Amino acid sequence: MDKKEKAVGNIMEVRNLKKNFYLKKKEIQVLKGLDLTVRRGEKVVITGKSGSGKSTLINLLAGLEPPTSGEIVFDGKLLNGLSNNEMSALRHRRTGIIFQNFNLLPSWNACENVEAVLFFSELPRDKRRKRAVELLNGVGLGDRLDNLPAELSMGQQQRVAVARALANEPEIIFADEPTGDVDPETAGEITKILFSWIGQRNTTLVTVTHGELPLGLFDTVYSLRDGILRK
Amino acid sequence: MKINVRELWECASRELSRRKSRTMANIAAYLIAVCVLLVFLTFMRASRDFNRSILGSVGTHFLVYMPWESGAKEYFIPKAPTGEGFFAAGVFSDPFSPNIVKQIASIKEVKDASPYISYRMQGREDRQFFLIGGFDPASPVSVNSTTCAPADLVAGRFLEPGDKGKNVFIAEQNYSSVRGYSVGDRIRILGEEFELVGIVKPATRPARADIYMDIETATRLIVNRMPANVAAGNTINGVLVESKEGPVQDTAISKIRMLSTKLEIYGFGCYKPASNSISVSEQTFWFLTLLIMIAAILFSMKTQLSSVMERQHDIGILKAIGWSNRAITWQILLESLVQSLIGCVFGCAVAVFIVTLVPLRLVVGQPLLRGTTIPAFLFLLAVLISAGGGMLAGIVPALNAARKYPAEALRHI
Repeated sequence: MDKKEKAVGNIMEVRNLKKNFYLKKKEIQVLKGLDLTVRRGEKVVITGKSGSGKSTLINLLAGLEPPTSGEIVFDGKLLNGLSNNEMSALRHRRTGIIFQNFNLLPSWNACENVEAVLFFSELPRDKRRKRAVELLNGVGLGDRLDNLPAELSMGQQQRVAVARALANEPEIIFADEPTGDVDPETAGEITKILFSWIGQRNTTLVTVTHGELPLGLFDTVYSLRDGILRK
Repeated sequence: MKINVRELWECASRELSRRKSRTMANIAAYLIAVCVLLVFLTFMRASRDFNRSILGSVGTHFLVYMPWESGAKEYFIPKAPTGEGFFAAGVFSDPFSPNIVKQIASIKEVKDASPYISYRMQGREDRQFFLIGGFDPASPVSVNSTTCAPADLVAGRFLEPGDKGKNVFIAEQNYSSVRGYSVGDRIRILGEEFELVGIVKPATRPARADIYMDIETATRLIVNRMPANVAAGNTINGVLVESKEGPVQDTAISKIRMLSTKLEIYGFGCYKPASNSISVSEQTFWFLTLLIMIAAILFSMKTQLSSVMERQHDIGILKAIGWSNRAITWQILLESLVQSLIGCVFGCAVAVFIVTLVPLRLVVGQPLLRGTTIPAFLFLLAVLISAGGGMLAGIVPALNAARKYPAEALRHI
C-alpha cells in the first residue's frame, strides 16, 4: 500500500494515546498508551466496563478535549496541533457526535436542535429547516418537530440527537453509548436508523458501548481494559 | 465558520424568548440599577446645586482699591484739612482710572464690577470726620453686596438710576441718628445742598460709608475739586466686585492683582469656608456618583453573570457540535446587550416617573426648590453603563466558557 492509498484508506490513526486526570491532587491514569487505526467507512465498536475510560476515549477522538500525550491523526492532520477554530471547523463540517445522555439544548425544540449544527454553514434558513425536518422524519419524529427535549421521551431525545449528528453529513460519527439510556426496543430502532444511514453514505462510525449493542453489526470490535485497547 | 448576524439574532432571540423568567430577571436587574442610578444621582445633584446656590454667593464680594503711596500728594485737595482724602478699606487710598472697572468686569470669574468713590472729609461745623460713598445705582449686583442694598432700608427710599447727577443721598442709620437727620432733611455737603431720601442699616460690608450718593454726583463734588486727577483721568478710588461664586473667587482676585501690582483687595474671608464646603459637597457628589455607578454595574452584571454561568453545559453542547468560540461569544454578547438596553429603557421610564412624582422638597428639605428633571447626560450615562455592564457581564463568562474544552464544559451541570 503506497502513501496515497494509506491516506485515503485510514481516516483516523491513534498512537500511544494517554489521558490522565487529577482528582484531589491524585493522578489517575485512564488511558495508558493505546493505538487505534480506523479505516474510512469502517464501523468500529469499543467495549468496556463502566469507568474503563470509554467516554474519555470518544471525547479525545472527537476532539472534545486534548490527550495528556500521544497523537490523534484525523485524515492526515494531527489534531494536537490544530487551533481552537480549526478544531471547531472540523467538528462543524466533518464529524458528528452522539452522547449517551443526548445533550440536547433544553430551550430549543427538536427541529431547532437539529438545525443547530447547520447554523453558520451558509445554508439559507428555509433549506436549513427543510433538512432538519427531513432528518427528523427519517428518525420517525416528523410529528414532534416543535417539542422541547423535556417534552420528549428518552428514546425520542436520542433520535433527535442521532438526527443532529447526521445533519452535517459527517465523514465520521462518534457515538458514546448511543443506546445506553434507552429501552431495548428503542435501542434496536436507533441502531437500525444509524446503520441504515451510514451504510448508504459509507460513513465511518466509532462507538463505545458496555455491551448493549449487537457487536455483529461492526467491522472491528475492540475491548478497552486497564487503559489499553485490545482487539 | 462565518458569523451571520441574522443567524446570531435568531439564536439570541430564541434564547431570550424561551427562557422568559431568566430574561425578565436580567431585564429587571438592569431596570433597578438604572432607575436607582438616575433617581439617586438626580436628587443628589439637585441637593448639591441647591447647596451651591446658597454657599456659592457667601462672601463673594469685595472692594478693589489702591492704598495711598506717600508722595502722591497731588491727589489730595491742596487746602483740605489734615485727615481728609480718598479713603477705602480704612486707609487713605489713591484714585485711579475707571477703565479698570471694564478690565475687571471682563474677567471670566467676575459676575459684576462697578465704580466706587469713597472720600473722607471733615464737617465744617462739628469738625467730625465722615465718609462719602458714591456708587452706580444701575449696578445692583455689585453695589448691594459691597455697600448697601434696598433690603437695608429703614426709612425713605434707596438710590435709583434716575438719581444720576441729582443732589440726593442716603445715610447710615447710626450716622443720621447721631446727627439728628431724618428723611426729607436738606443738608449742605461741600458747599452744596442735598436732600436725604433714605436711611439704611447695612450689615458688615467691605465698602461702607456714612452717606451714599450717586457716583456722578459724588465725583462732581470730590474729584472736580482736584484738577490734577481729572487731567490724569483718575476719577474713582474703588471698584465694587461680585465674583461668580466662592470656589472661583481666589482666581478672580489673582487675575485682578495681575492688572496692577498696586491694586489691593478688601473683602471678607467667609467665602473660603463656604467654598470649602462646596468643594466637599462636590467631591462627595462625584465620589458617590462613582460608587453608585460601580454598584449599578455590579448589580446588573450579577444576574447576567450567573445566568451565563448556568449555561456552561449548553455552551459545551454548542462547542461539541462545532460552534466556534466567536459565534458563542457573539451570541451571548448580543443577548446581554439586548437585555441590558431593554432594562435601561424601562429603568429610565420608571426613574422619570419617580422623579416627577416625588416632590424634591421631601428629598432636599427646601420649600423654595422647584421640581427637577433628569439631565440628559445622566440618560446617556445610564445607556453607557447598561451597555457596558451588559457587554462585560456577557463577555467574561462567555470567554471563560469558550476557553474551556467542550468536554470540560459538558461536565458542568
